[in-house]
Amino acid sequence: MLFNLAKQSLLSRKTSVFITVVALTISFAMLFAVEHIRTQAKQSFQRTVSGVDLIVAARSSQINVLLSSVFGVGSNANGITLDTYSKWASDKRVAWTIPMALGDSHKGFAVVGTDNRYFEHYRYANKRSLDFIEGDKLTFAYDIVIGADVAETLRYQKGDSITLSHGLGEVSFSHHHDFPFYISGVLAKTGTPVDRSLYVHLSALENIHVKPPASAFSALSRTQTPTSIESKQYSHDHVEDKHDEHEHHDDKHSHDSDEHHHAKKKQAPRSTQSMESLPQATQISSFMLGLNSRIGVLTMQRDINQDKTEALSAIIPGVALAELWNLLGSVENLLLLISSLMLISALFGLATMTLASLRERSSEFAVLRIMGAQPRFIFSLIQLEVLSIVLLSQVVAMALLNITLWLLGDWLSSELSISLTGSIFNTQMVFVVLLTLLASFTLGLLPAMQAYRKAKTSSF
Amino acid sequence: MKTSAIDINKLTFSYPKSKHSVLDIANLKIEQGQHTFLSGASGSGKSTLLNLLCGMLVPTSGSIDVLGQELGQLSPSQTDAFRAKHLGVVFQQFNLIPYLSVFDNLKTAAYFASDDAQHSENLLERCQQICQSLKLPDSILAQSAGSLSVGQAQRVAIARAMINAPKILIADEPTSALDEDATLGFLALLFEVSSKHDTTILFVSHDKRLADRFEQHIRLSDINSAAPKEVG
Repeated sequence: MLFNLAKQSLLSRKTSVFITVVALTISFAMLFAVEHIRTQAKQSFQRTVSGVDLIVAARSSQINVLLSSVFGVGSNANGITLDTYSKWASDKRVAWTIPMALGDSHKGFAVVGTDNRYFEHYRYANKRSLDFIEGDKLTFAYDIVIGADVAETLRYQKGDSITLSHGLGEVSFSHHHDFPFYISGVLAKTGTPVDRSLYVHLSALENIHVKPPASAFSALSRTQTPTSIESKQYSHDHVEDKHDEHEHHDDKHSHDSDEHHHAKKKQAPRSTQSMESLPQATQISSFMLGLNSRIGVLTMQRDINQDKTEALSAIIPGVALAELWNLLGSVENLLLLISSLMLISALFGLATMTLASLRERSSEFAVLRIMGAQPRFIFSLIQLEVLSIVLLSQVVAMALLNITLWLLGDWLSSELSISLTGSIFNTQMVFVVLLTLLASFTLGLLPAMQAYRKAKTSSF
Repeated sequence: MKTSAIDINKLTFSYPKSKHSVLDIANLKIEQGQHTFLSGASGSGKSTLLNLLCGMLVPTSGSIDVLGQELGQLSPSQTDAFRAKHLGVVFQQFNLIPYLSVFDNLKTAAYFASDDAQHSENLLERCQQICQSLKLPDSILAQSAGSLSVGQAQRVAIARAMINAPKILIADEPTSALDEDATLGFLALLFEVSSKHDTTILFVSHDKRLADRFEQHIRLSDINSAAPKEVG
């Protein structure tokens, strides 16, 4: 009876109820969005690297080292010489290291110069290792391994050949056309910046920035004549690259050109030049290291930071992440405050609407009382109406949020490296929902108690 | 010996923070099945008396027995339940809940009075029977109460008051907004339906022309020492 009365009562006031629901939905959507993105972003950042004891780069702030080395955001102007790296890599306390060089890109995706230790030692989330869905790690000097998002977005697969661009931007005016790389492997999705990166050998990355000697590609496929085919293919690829970078006005034409380019990529020969044949890299951007014993991490950090040969910064990833979140914490708290205030304002609007309706409904309540309804029935009726509006708004807000996240998920992942893969229906969100319901019930007490008091003195 | 429907003894009532009594009734008895016309000028205490009879107000002193039950001995929730089961009320403006259907209006009245499954189970049948006795079609049950004509609303108001077959029916100025023909039609319906259940009727009105149609005419000013005396 109570539910039917509440439902019919709300339906009889469709317009005012609708406006209230819209206001509440917007407030809830904002609150839920802030809460979800905050939680997911934190989880996303925290799961990016796991099992790494220290990250070392040229002297810089903790956050800058973390962002540039792990998330590919920003850059460190200075590098680390190979001698310094080798010194620390061979330290007896060190179990493993992963050298990394940054600076190149391919169609907006960062290229990381490293070696196969990256695929061996890099861990993410709960110490999960990197897996390949296609192919394998780097075998030859000009092999390249790509992340899952790179493969999906650019429609690459094992066997394709690609060229890199200088710089980190999506558009570059300097392309390394003389050095096509062969995709030897495609990594499985991790939900981390790994998905949006390409991995080449450290020496190869440095080498393409050096003017090549005449015999640089003498080890190209022995079944084909190197010079003539290569130059035609590469000049054609160069034209196609430029074509790809412009907006396509004619879909048919662009489709045809993509197919042609793709077909050309497939046909490009794989360089079988060995990694050892290339000159060693002279500089890296940073390196990750794991220790034999984690007890010594602070001592190791201090020793690296006090290195007299080169100015270095060794950071503990967890500590740097905490500092990053402290920095973002004030922004996060401000957003939460704003969305909470919006919600409280909308709830007051709901209480006001309900209070205003009590005057119109005084005869209705009197009739209910005469028919035998107790004052607490009237109280419950009002509270049920309030909570129904709130619940409806929450459901609509969650549906809207889900749709929005589905639409913007890729953009957030590509622009901010935030992976929002989790469901919004988690423990934290349930807590937020219950808390807002409690707030709604509390504010609903205003009109409900008034109705209760009036019901007690209802009369003919 | 039959219990009186209403038995009032040495009743006084004054509103909180008021120095003056609104009601001071030494004795009032209405027998079961009796049709009583209660008249009084504005401010004579009619509404207050009705509220006391329904248990909505508590007397300052004295006692009110309804169907042998002294209302003062019941808790507020017991009073509400007693009223739901044994009293039916027709209001001045009929006061149907406009956003509910006719059936839901009747169902609401039945809901507060019901305490057993059987009572609830045959509710639709009871609604149909009472509609038929009031010459209303069954199809009216699905109609919204807010869309009824005055004549239909009048009958539905009686149906709602009678759905639980109450022992006492209180009609508080139900004909004040009706013309003469409609008023007479309303009275005829009321007597017809109440006669089937031997229902006691307490009809409150300031229209003394209707008094002749009742077995008993009580002027409130005659029994209430606190009320101003009526002229004529």
